[in-house]
Amino acid sequence: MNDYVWDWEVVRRYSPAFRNGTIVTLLLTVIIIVVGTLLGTVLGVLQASTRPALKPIRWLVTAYVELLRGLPVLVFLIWLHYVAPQSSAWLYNAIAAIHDLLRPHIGKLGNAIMNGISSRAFATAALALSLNLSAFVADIVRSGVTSVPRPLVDAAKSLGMGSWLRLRRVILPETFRASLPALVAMYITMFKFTTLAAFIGCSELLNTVFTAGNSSYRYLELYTMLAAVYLVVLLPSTWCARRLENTRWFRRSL
Amino acid sequence: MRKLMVIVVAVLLPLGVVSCSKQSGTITAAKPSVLDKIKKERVIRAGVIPYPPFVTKDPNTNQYSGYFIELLDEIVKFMGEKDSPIKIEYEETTWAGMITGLKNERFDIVVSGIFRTIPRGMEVTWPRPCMYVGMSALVRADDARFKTPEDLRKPGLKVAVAAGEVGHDYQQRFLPEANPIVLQTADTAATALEVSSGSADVAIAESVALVQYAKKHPEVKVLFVDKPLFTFATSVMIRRGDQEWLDFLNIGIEFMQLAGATERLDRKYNPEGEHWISPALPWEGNRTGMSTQKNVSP
Repeated sequence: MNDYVWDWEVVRRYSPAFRNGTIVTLLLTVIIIVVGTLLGTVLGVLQASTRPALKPIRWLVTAYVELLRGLPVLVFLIWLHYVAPQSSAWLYNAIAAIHDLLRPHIGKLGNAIMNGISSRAFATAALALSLNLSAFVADIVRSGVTSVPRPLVDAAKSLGMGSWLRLRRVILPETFRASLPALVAMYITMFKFTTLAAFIGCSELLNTVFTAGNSSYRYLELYTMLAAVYLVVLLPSTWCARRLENTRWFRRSL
Repeated sequence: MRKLMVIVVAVLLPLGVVSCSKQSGTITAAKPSVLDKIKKERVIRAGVIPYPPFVTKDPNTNQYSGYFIELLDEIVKFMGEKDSPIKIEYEETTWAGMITGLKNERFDIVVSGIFRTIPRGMEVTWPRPCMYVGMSALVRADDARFKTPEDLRKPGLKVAVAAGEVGHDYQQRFLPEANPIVLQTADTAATALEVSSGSADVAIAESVALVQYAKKHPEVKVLFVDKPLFTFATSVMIRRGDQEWLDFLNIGIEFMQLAGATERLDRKYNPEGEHWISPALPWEGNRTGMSTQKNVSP
């Protein structure tokens, strides 16, 4: 790297692209975290339940979790984007349904951002990464539920709480407090995994920067700025996560 | 272990059953043409791949422009009546995903500068070419080793190519003793970056991206632009088996060529004439300018 001539003007020229790409990336992350956590919690609770009647469901959940945890995310994403629509109609329809669901709600955002998230690639990425996250959340929640102290559950039982109330008021709050560091670490990982969506053509931050490189041929400047933007978003979130773990609310449970 | 088997079968069974229930992507004779569907639904679903200046995506606005975007706009203008125009819905795809997108009928057409090659021709088809694009080599500006294409045949020469791109094919066929650096990228100009950074001696790819890259980077130069290593007929791409849609696009492109629209686009997107040559009209003589190297054979 001796005679490369740097030209930082390109970063300024594409600053709207960086902004739009960051918004699409953050939107994708939020969708993944919300859907993945909700789905993962349900699956985790099902997996941790001891009712004999739920045994076949537990098997299916275990299979789901193992399958998704075993597959590399990029492989799953590519499979879902290219192979699934070819081979299985219901998966294709599921992705199309997510796509249609998103479409009316994104009209209010700017045109550039809307173009970025109205694509099928965005829907596929949201689905793939949500499913992937749900498998990990399920595992975290399962181990969290089983580690809730037995006396606490018994105490809730003796107060006359039904199983649903017990789950809602005692087991899940305790589980989430105990699993918070693991969950936040997973969320930050998912934020980084959104870059994979670039490879199926979803206009998130990395893809937008690829496009900018493709039209300006100034890759090194753009890639450097890209790394800086990811750091600017990531460092505060890891810092917040650490702060959260040090709060009294969190320490109370330990 | 038996439990595990049961789990695996339980997961795979529904997937398999559904896969069989959907009909495969082949087109039967009774199937109506995409053209009829477009006339009814008033919309063309187009896959699009950014590849300047054939298709340029502005990263700031995510809007598409470029030669083929404008050409299709022109054709579509003539397709619709005033009160019910036909619109084009663009969806971004990749070089790796474009053929699948056509086959499973997500796209009616793929819009980009797509080279008509034999392996692709076994899966898809194209209307008549809008231009002929060359393949060139990019080296460091101070590298004087390569006077003719034969000079590229050096054992151990570090050659950067993009996987699946025409440069990759060329390297495999004609430079088998080279030391290839195969990039998994949709952006052919990324091969030039390998030369800029000193990782490769030569980048081989279609010349449009290489020429544009070299204009911005004084540390490199492009060889064999006027006499390309190979030349590719270039057009938009469609599913095969739909003769009516193919006929229609041929008529559309021919109409625009005769109307002078493609000449206007050539002037706009290829002002210096280095990116491609366009096909001659019947009353024009042979175009001068670049011609393919004839001295390279397998």
